[in-house]
Amino acid sequence: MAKKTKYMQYGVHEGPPQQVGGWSLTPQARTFLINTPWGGVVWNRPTAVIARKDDITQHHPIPDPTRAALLLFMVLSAIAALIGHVTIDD
Amino acid sequence: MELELNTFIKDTVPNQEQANSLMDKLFQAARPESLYSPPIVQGDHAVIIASEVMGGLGYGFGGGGGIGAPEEGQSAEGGAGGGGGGGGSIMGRPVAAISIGPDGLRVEPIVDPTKIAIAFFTTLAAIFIAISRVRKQLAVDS
Repeated sequence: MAKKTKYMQYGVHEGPPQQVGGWSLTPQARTFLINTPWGGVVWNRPTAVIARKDDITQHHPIPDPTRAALLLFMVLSAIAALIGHVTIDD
Repeated sequence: MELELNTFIKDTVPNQEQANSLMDKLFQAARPESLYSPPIVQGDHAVIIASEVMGGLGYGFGGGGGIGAPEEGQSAEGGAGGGGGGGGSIMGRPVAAISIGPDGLRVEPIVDPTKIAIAFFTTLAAIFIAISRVRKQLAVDS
């Protein structure tokens, strides 16, 4: 777990492995954390699962198409707003 | 999953110590294992849901005191008061289903079409507004 003494944390962390169907699965997550004396913010998203069985180790990234689409639309909206703004100013 | 998601935190927080314990609850979301559900096992297959978690919490305390003007023949009376408040929320969104079976492990992304559709139409509106502003400006210029 992230230490509370740090005001801000950002990085990829691994959780304890769990046994499922003969596989040992280690969860990985990207964490953004702000901790102040008046409150805090946490944003945590899964990035990958590391699966181990016997001598096999597999790295399975976790895609997030919803987030990718939202980011794309956000960038398009920003570009559209910028074009409109620049045109009026000129 | 250990965390209760999509709920407002409504614990009573009478002092800083309990506020810190409430913060600890929030920071449980910062653990990678909080994002992965316990496996749902059916025969040879198991499914684990991976979710994104976002949360925020804020609180504050204050207090003060004073002495009122004494009335005739009476001593000055003092008063003091204090209070605090805060609020927070944790939200979760399923991102992927991890399926484990005899064939191995598969990660299936979970798409949220409602969110994408809302973002798409908002973007369309932004583009439409930008185009209409550009056309209006071109008409003024010419």
